[in-house]
Amino acid sequence: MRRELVELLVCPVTRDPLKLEVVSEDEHGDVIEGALVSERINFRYPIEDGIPNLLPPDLQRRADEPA
Amino acid sequence: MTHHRTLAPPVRRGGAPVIHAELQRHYDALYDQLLNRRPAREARPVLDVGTGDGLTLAAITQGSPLHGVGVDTAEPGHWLGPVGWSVIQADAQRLPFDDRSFRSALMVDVFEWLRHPAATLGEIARVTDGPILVVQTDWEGLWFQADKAEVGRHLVRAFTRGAPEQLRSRIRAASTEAGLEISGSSIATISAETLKPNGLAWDVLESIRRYLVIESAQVRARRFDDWRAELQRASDDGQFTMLLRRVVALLERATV
Repeated sequence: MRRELVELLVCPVTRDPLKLEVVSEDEHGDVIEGALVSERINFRYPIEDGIPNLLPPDLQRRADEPA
Repeated sequence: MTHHRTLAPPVRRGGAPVIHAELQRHYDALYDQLLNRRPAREARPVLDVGTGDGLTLAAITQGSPLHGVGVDTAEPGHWLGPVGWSVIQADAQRLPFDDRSFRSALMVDVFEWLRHPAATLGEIARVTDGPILVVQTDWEGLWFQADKAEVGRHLVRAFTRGAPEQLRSRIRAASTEAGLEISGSSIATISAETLKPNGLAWDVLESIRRYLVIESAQVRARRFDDWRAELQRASDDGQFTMLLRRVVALLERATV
């Protein structure tokens, strides 16, 4: 995920800006693993394999449930 | 500069040219405008809703001025989308963007997957400052019927010929429910006047032109024959459209 994308993103619940946390990045500085944090609802939207998951928390929990 | 073979007009049986010379000059001017006067890149991004793995987006935007963000509810896995585009996993009814973040939005062959189409269209309209381009194809035709496209302040609907009428009605109903402005009286035929640099029509034309060029030779050859025959019929019926003519011309150029 390109770092400048953060400027375009907001929390889908509160529409507040998100805080970027970087765990790993590639040689171009793009984020590979990390999170986008919505502080008001204390939720971390994960970034995995360079792709941020900004599904609202209720949909993320549903996706995590076993089929 | 690339030189293209001069396009000879199709010939009716008996030798009389179907296409008037003035009409051909009009088309040639349009092609030259499209091919040679690339606009400066528009800074604001485009939103592609239901982007999937990005393969379709890559096909229709290769080398074009369009750039932006693709979103999909499903995890995209390996992103095959175009360079310069970003992809995020998001719910189209609760998009993680501020109001008016995008210059326009694309939704290609997505509508039939939407559970709440009006809510989705309303949310897309919130984050978009320009028109939403809804394209439904029949998976055979590559071109939409621009003379039947409906253009409103908020929504452009475009279909290939085979898109079912029921689907058109559903899109219209959802658009109305979402409060989007579409006008049946505003019928759009893309012309020199509408082909303004940085305009959505320009970009989409450019994108689809490139899509045609990169198509496989086999598919292109088959469709070329189909379109040529269709063009002939349309000419005979007096309902000749610039777009059909354009597709054939581009294919001819691409196969030189």
